[in-house]
Amino acid sequence: MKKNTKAISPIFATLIILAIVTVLFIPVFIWATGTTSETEDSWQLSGLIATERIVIEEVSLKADPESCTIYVRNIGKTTVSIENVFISLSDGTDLYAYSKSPTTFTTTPNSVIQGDLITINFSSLGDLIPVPDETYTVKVFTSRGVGDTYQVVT
Amino acid sequence: MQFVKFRFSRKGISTVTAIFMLLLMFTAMIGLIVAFVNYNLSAKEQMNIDHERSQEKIELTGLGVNEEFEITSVVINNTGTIDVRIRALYEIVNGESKLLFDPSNYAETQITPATSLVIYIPGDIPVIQFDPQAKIVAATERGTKTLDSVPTLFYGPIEPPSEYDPTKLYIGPLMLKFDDFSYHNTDKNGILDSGDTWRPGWVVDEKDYLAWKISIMNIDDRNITINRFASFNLVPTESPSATLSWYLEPTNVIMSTQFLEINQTVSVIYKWTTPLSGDAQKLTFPECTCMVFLTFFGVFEEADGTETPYAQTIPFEASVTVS
Repeated sequence: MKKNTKAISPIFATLIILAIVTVLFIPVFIWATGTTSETEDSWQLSGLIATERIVIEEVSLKADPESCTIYVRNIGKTTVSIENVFISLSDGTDLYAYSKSPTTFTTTPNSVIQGDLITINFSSLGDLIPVPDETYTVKVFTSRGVGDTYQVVT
Repeated sequence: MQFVKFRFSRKGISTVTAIFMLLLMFTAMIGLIVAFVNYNLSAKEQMNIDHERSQEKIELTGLGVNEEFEITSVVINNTGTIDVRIRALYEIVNGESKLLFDPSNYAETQITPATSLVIYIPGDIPVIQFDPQAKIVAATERGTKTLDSVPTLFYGPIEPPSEYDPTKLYIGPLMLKFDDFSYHNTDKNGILDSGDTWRPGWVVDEKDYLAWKISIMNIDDRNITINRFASFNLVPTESPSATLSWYLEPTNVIMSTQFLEINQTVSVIYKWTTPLSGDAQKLTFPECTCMVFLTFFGVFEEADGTETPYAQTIPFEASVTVS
């Protein structure tokens, strides 16, 4: 029995090799799949952004009483939701930034598919006091940073 | 001896590693290719949307109004080269845009190129009054818009008719007598103040309820009937959007109109905040200089008994100073 050890070595050897290779391969596999999935996610996000398009259809910015309603249409394939609105004078100065919240603005509905309309209603314009007959630039951005610009006279 | 064998037996390692590596590469490649192809398809799809959008063009061409002067329909013409679908109608009054409704919720609003669509105002939305200061906007599913003013849509474009002599200080069938222009104090209900008289309107030193009076002559060869939407508009030079309008005090109270006979000079009085509102308009401007515009809407009474829509704007060749 002691002399007959030759047959065991190849099996053990193979098992040991498999075990070592598997153990060594795990971190490589995790790293490699992580990298590729990051790249895949990046492509997917780029694809979503490429098909994300909005158009500001109408803006109602009133000086007295102060109010603002923005109508935005989704003309891209991706479902969109509005996250940020910027209002400034037409020369880009006096910029006011608004993030979606019940105290600044609400959107109805929250997100829309292609062809549908989102209505943005401001509950407060904050420090912005619209001046009559002034031209303002309104910029609206989605949650993925796609936006559109509109000029309106109060 | 066994260790030496193990050390030189690298065949197993290479095979297993190779299989793992191949699987990994294969999986990674498929994932990357699928993601890339998806991105390319998305980009191509968006280019198609942009291309289709560039082919879209629509025009508002008409407006239906009933006897109560409520807007009943709008007519939209597809002048582009691709099918469009109307998804929104807006009304802009005094710079404020208001979404009226989405016509596609009520009927099919697809329009093929070179055809028109009549969109009827549904009964379940608030009444849209004919407002000569208002504009109508229509928008498609791809975000293409068209805009036109309500009077232009209903009465047609207001252009200086060629048969009138521009050297005579008129640009249409009604000729203004520029030196006959006055104002009068009224109360809140538009009743003329008995203690006041008609005073020249060039300088106004009171900020109160006022009535304005002008004189015009019908120089056309047809009688004209103007309606309650005829207005006298003061536009401050410093702040043009803060326009104040005084609407017609009709001589025919039942029909809310005023008849203007051929070659007759008549006085026209304006006093109301909105057409026939019952509330007199108040002059609220701070000290300023104002331009004056007169707008007239109504009908020509043709020789055969029919009526033709009529509209005219007269820019007053003078300013009013509010002091």
